[in-house]
Amino acid sequence: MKCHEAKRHLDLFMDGELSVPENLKVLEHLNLCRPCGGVYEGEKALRAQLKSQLGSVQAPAGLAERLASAGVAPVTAFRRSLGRSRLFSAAAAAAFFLVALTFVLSSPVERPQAFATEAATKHKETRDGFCGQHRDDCVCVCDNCCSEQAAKPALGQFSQKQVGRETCAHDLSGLGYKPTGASIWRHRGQKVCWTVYRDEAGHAITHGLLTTKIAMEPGPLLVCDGVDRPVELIPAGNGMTCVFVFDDVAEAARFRLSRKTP
Amino acid sequence: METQAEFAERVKPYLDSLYRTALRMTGEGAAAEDLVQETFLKAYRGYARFEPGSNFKAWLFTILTNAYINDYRRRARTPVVTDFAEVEPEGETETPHFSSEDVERLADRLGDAAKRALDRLPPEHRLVFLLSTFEDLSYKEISSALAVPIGTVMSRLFRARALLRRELADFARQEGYSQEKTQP
Repeated sequence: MKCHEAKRHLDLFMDGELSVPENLKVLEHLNLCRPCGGVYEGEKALRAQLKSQLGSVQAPAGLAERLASAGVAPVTAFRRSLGRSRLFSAAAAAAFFLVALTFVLSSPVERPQAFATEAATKHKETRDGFCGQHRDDCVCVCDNCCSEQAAKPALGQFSQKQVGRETCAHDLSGLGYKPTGASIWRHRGQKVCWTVYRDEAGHAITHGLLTTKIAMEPGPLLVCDGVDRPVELIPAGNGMTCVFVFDDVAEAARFRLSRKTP
Repeated sequence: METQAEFAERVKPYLDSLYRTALRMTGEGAAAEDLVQETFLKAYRGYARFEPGSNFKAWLFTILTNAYINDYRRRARTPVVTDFAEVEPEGETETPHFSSEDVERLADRLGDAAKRALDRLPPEHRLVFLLSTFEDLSYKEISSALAVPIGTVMSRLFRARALLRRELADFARQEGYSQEKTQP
């Protein structure tokens, strides 16, 4: 891809509107071309700045109450035609509506890009593993600390103990990656068992099963813009999401290809 | 009761988003609150018609957009005329880009300059920009919310960004900073 093409595609790239192959081409060019990378960094900084200054406005505290009052409107409409017991139900519904709206600011669904930024940061923090670290919230299963056969059971036990369930069933051995450790990431009050895999060339994939909700379509989503590492989000049922963070685009592409190949 | 509770549960994550967009479109807090209230009421009344599995946030923004457009058109004494010459000045073929260092230096003052630039955008361009940039709606979702083709969404977004960049570039020059210029 040439510079003028990369710049022409930059907004679409940052909006997440390119196809996966086009996305990867732009990302590859931005990684290799310093001037274009600079333009991208500037645009990213500008968008982040505008978002933080103009996009963080919150609704006034009283608006939720006003809306709850307005929510009585359909209830009062019932009053004219329904009996006393139905009226009681309608009043209870209005009260429920009021209570529900008081939680308005408590647990929003996460946006893929915002989450991907957090996951990419977590990747940087954990990609080297936990060898030699003596903490309750991490475990090392690298070749120095654990036999290859014992690594997966050890991770499963760690996850079961810390999070209350086994790690998810994704297997990265087909890509040449082996598990080397895991730690607990407290994300929005939920514990995530964040697992680290490495290959012989020194690449790392970090991975976790997220229980908080992400606002995304049903299929897998590769989030490349706004973060330094590609992040793959895969819906995993029960509202959970499998998250994979890669060192670079080539590894993300290899992972995608391996999932399509039976 | 179940429907009301379910509806209340579903709308709660979007209150800030709807208010933010309403505020930027109306320019006034009380009007924005009215617009959000109208949106919630219309959404509640039409909730039975919401198709399960489709995008709830995009659906809410469709209602907000319609409420805004209807109200705006009703109040406006004269039709809105978009001055495309102003949005995309003739002869201006280069788009300025900021370096991340410039953005950092100008950080505190960028917000006000951007607000002024946004207010100068024609409403239909501003709305597309807000929905894309701050609410992360896809082009397809914006196209559906505004009932316009995706190509229109893209051209409005392109023009909105071009104007915004130029306004911010002018502001930066006044502040003593220069930006790179690249072909769009």
